[in-house]
Amino acid sequence: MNIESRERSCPQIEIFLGKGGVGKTTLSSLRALQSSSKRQKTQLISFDPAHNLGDIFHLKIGEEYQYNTFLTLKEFDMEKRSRDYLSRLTHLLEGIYSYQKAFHLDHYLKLLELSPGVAEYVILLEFIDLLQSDVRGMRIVMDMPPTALSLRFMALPQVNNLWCQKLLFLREQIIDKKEILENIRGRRKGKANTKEPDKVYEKLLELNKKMITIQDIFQNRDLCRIQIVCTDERLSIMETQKIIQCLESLDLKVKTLYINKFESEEPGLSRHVSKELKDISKKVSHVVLVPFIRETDDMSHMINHVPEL
Amino acid sequence: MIDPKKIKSQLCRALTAFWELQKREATDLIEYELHELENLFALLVYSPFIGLPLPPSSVAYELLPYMESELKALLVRSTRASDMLSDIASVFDGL
Repeated sequence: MNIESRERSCPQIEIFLGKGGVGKTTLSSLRALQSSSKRQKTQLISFDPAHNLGDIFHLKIGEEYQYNTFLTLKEFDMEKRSRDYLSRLTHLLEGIYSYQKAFHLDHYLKLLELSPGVAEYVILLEFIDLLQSDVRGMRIVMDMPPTALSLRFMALPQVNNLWCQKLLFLREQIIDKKEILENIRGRRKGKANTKEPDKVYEKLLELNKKMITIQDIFQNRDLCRIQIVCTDERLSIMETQKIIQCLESLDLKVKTLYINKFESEEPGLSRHVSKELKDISKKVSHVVLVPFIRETDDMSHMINHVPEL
Repeated sequence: MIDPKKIKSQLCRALTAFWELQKREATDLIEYELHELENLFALLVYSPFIGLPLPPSSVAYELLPYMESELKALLVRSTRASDMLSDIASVFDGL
């Protein structure tokens, strides 16, 4: 795995967050369409288990679809990805713990899929795979799942890093002690010390490197643009405030706030917009007002009615 | 008459034995410390085993295939958990 070198040729990533029903899928789709219309190679991927992207573009879940020369669409199949990941892990375990077969762990895959932490980790694995594929110079637009899952995904690299660092420190102490013992025993038996690499340490180090790279990408505002979609409604505003607060605690800044379904005729943030929304607007780099558009089946028709996203 | 060479060789043997004994005691302690660290490592990674919250399951899952010896140490340690006295005695035995 070499995503570290990918950072230099990293695509531009746009992450769309927001409360359910505010129009994340619609705006991320329009953003991807606008981008591809400028002959920019774009990939739109939806991680939302609500399958809205599939409904808009009539996609089958998990399949990649070439919408036009410059735009690829994909709806992430979380169930399949979880199954594949856990099945790979189970096979790996079978080879190492031979007695594992006695427990028929493979019969419990469905249950393991529901374990806390699996969903955000498989999204992260898909994201890593995406970065490893040929995405040089591309724009990746990500339509994210509900807020709780999205925030757990965004926090996962940092949380994993913290754990990896602490465990690496402890592992180094274990390796030191093992080396001391092997040296004394080797000398006693007159044998040279033959050091075997510590697989746990190597695996931790590999995981740590991956997570540092992802964390760096998330924190690099030129590479990764975090965008929130909200509407001028109390619950949507409250959730947006929580998202911004949570992202700030991860040292992640929001680039753009899209105020969707905006109905005022006045330009800019008019007096009709709530005070809370005006306060939120001060915490982001850009605010884009998106007028209310009656949804149609034809996304390319909608594109003419929205401002540059 | 006492042979000085014999005395020297016996003294050397006694000192070597004493040195070996000291070394073994020292390694026994390091070994005990190592088992404790391995046990602690396994407990941190698979903390629900003792009712603590789990670290990110991704870390626990990724390490699982390589943790056989640590898990064995954890199980041995847990079977002896109710007999702490003999465990402590075995450590002091060598001192």
